[in-house]
Amino acid sequence: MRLGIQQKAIAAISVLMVALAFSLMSMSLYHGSHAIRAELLMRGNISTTNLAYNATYATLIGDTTVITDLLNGIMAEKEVLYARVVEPDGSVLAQRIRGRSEQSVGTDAELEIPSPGVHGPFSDDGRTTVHFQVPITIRSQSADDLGAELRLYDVPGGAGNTARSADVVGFAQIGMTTHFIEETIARMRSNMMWIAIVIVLSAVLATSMLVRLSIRPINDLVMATERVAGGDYDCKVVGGRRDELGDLAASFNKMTADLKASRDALVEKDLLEALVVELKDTQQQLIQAGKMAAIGQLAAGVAHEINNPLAGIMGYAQLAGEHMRAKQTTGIPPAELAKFIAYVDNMEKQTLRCKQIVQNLLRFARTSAHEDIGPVDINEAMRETLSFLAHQIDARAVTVETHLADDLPSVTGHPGKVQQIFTNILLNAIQAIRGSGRITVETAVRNGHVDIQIADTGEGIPAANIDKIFEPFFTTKEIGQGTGLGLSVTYGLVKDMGGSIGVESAVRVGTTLTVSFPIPADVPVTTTAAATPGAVSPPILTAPPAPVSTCHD
Amino acid sequence: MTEPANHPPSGGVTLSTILVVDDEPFLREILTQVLVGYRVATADNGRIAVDMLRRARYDMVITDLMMPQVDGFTVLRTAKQVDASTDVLVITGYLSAENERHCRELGCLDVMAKPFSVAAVRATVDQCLGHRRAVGAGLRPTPP
Repeated sequence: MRLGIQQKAIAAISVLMVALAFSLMSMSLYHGSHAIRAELLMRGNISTTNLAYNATYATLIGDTTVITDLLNGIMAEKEVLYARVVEPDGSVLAQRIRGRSEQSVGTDAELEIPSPGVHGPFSDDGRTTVHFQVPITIRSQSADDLGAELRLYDVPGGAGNTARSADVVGFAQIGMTTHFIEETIARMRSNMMWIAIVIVLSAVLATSMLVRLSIRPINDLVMATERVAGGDYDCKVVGGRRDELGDLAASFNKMTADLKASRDALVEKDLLEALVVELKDTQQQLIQAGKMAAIGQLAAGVAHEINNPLAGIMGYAQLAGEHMRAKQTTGIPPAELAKFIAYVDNMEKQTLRCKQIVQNLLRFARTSAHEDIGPVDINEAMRETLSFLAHQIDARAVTVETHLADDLPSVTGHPGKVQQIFTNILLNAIQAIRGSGRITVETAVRNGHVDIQIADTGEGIPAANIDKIFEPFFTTKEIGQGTGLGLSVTYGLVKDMGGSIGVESAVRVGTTLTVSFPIPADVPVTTTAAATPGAVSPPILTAPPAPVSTCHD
Repeated sequence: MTEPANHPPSGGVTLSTILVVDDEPFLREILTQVLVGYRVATADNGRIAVDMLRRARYDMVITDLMMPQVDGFTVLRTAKQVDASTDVLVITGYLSAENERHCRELGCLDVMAKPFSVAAVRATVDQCLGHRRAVGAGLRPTPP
């Protein structure tokens, strides 16, 4: 059990008070009872001495009547149990015993009255009767004798030498009970007990109140500490006391204020750090967007400039081809002519390829906001794309898993362009897989956007390249295998639709591309979980976000 | 700038006249070759083309868009102002949705991207001018 300061203080004070009261009481009782007993002894002595003195003559002449009168007077004292006068030989001359008739003379043994000369000293050891004896002497009137005669207890048994035995005519004997003084002492003890109890109780009560009063501010402090620990830094302890507790309260309030200040500073620091991170993120995105815009402008300029020479090459090649086919060329053997025709046809084909590249570049660079915009069913577009790519998928050991969310809202865009986005990403995914692998396609609504995730188990993209994959002409494929325009075109197309595209990749684990299109405001959004329960969307690593700026040519 | 140089493939029929506008000389040459059988005039920039359009009548105009000083849009607009029935074919290296939409708003016949297929240009011109001849002369189209 846990004892509080209050309980401990009360217990200590109580023990102390009890001990103090007990010792005081014992001391008073000891001294008190001694005094009472001394008084009894004195009274007994005086009475016995008086009896001896007054009965001297009557004893000499053997007048028991006078002695009996004297004894009666002594018996008036309630403590006197018996009084008697005995002759020197020990025979009783006259006696009175409490509770017996005056005349009756019983035996000493019966009365349990000690025979003369056998009195022991007065003591406390349980005896209830004190016996006094004074010799009755014929006076020599000397002051010395009188003084000697008053001495107690030293009388009988030959041991006594207070009186000259020749002068002793008898003994006055009185027995006094200690019953009454024991009663008085008992009463005194009980009174003292009560007083002690009252004192102890008052002391405990007073202590308890005092402790309670002193403890209250401590309790307040304890409660305040608990509140502060619980996060309530505005909690204040009422101070104002001009003592140590007042100082403690002031210190506590200061500590709480400091704590609050440092906590606030910490929170502010966290906020600032979050802001800095956000700012850096935004800056990164802006840099990326700016870079893409610059690349787009450059690409557009180059593309346009290159179109004229391309038109020239292609035009001349076509004209030459037409000319040779019309057999308007003379002097060339037919076999040679056929070869030339093949040459110019190849020129035309290669020029057409250049045209495709330039068109892709331009598509990356420019907005096409005005072309057949309408609602696009993402799931439908994905299914069509997959069926279109079916033979490419089948040609490799690639399995495709689709988890298309039901009730996916439409997004605004051009169905053909959405398909082109998916085609580009899927082709990249297919080509990233060496040997066998899996492509997982998932659509879902997240945060007011339609998310399309295309994850492959392919080679992955090294971290150093992950920022570059959307840049035109960035490719890791063999020369001739890819132009490096696929994903940049995809980037441009996604941006045109107000969407964002992100990539997460780990080398030899795979790549996940996430395309996110905003859901138009007029489309009711029911956030659907991904079709696969437990499908976790990986965080998008580096991604140009839903761009505000678009590249214009 | 250049007067019609081609000769009629068959006598008796008034040859359609086509104005070719492009700042690249080799493209003017290629188009001239493609359009054998028509009277072809050429201009190497938009300002001269606009002048020519104001002074003579052309059945058809084939123009580039991006040219120094006066661009293809102005040529197209002028051609349509002078004679709304003049067909204008735009062939441009700057084909964008916006450009195409703008050209169509101004009333062009068609827009083609560079590099172009000579066969496609020839087919478009033949179809257009043959149709015009049929309408204008009440005859069946006779391709050159």
